[in-house]
Amino acid sequence: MDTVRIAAVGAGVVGLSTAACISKLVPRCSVTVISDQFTPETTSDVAAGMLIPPVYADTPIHKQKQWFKETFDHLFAIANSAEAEDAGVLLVSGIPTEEVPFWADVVLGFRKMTEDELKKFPQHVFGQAFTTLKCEGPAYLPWLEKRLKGSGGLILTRRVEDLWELHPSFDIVVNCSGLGSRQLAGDPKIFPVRGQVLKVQAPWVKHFIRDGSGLTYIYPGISNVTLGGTRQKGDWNLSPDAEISKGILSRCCALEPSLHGACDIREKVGLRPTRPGVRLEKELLAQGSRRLPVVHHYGHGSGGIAMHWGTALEAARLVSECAQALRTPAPKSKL
Amino acid sequence: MRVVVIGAGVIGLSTALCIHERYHSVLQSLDVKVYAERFTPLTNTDVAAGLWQPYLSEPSNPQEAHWNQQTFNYLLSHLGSPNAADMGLAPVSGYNLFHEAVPDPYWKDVVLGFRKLTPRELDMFPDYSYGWFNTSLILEGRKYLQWLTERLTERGVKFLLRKVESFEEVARGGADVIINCTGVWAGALQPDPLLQPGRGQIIKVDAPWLKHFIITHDPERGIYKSPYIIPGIQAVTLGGIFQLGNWSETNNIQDHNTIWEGCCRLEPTLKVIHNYGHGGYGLTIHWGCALEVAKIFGKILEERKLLRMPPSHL
Repeated sequence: MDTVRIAAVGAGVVGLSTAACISKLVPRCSVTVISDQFTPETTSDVAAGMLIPPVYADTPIHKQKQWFKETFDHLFAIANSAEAEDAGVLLVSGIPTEEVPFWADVVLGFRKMTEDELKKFPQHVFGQAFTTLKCEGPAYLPWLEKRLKGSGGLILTRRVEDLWELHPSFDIVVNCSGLGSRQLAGDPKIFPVRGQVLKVQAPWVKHFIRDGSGLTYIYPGISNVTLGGTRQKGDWNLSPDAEISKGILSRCCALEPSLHGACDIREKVGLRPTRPGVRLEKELLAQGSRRLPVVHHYGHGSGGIAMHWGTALEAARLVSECAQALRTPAPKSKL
Repeated sequence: MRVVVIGAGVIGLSTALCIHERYHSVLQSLDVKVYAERFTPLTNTDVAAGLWQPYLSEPSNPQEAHWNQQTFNYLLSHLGSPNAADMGLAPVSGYNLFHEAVPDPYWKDVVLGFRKLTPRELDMFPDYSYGWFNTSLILEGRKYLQWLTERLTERGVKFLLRKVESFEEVARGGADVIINCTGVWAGALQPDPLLQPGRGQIIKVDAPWLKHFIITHDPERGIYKSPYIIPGIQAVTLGGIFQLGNWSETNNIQDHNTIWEGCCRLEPTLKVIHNYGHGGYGLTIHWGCALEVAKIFGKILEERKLLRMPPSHL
């Protein structure tokens, strides 16, 4: 087998970054990203993109930390280069709360605030301060697409109803379809956690602020500030709710009163593709005599951007293993 | 009681406000006027980036340290207000960078969260080997002057565009007390050999992804002669020029290049849009000084037995 033909289903941050990693890591392959939704219509475009990881119940902590660190290092290099603005990556400092999380030493300058400091900034009465990165979908996704095309990757607009549609045009399928996997992979474990946010103009806000639970947050970005949020399990509704918007604005103004002066308020909704853990594994689909190697790479929940590069590197390794197996003549390939 | 404040930069306007707030209700009548040749947006204050940060070494007059702190605390007290942004006020964090270890500054406990930089943070700045991180405040000159002007106008303070040639002329015009806030041009009203211009030039750019200030230090060259980057509400200020004795108010090409090269080296993500200007110092210390002047004014009133009751401590 000469060129291994790989299809990546899904063009959010996970689909595009996986395609980019495969391009780099898998020898003699062609990569095609196939999706019915592209930026700026994906879930990744709605997310604030803060590098603050979630916790995956079913994934060992050391693995989560590795994925987060790899993503952080990858974006940190971009943030310090001339590409930062094009790629939509910036450094932000702020004040959230929580006990010391597993990722405290991955972000920069993590420390607890002293009693004195807490007294001084009474409305920001939280425990810790650190500096992390923000990676913005509307810029980052086009940047990834450009890189992918530059290395010979293709992009196809098409709604895939069944992974078998990709056989035999493609040799390996990487499934990065997020919530689409309910249908494409028949996975009942993946469900939406609806998030509504407001994108507003408030350029004087230079710090991010989060409350204890992370439900209420203020994330300043390149050209707007994201105010949030909600966590509505099992809610598939993509239309913004006016009452919820009022609630978000009110909660955020309580944390940061100057937001009363925010203007040009836009409502957005994203459905976080949530699962007890990221599904990152190979599966060999079989139908009669047909075989289709699939690498599943979905279910990042609220951690899509925070974990994308680390998980994409691992997905690319799994694809490489599949490609290797296809190239090795054997009586029965053991995938 | 007729008070004339000469000068409409941050010092003049804040002094006028401070006095009016404290004495308006304790005097039978208080008439405050501001005379100036330049009003916002043409003052030095309008050009300043507006970061609260004193010089690194302790001032020869220890009162200045106290006034700096009073100013910080006064601004801090306005942070919780919905109108903070209207004032041009916002918290901001950032980096002070050095080529070698230096002692902590005397104001380290005034700002929030002062700490040394970690090795990974220093990796972002390969030309520097030591530094601080802290959270401070931005008070944008232009916005603040607009805000002060509104507050003063509400209080009935009048503004007059006038070139004042002498204190006598103002006194003859009917002023009981004159407050001289003429800044770098004070020498024209009364010679002061200690007063010099410290010419600054800046470049304002549109770089909204920059959320931190970055100030570098080169002890051999002196303060503000090393590149600095200070994000404001709408634009980012790039600087690094401080020329004692230079009165020129026009942009200089060499200075522009010095700033641009220095700042791009410091922050490779920069991309230029437009605009030049010149620079100064004063927002860091203004409120403490205004309070001091108000105290002096109070003494004058006492001497002249004009106070009905002691002034309120606002």
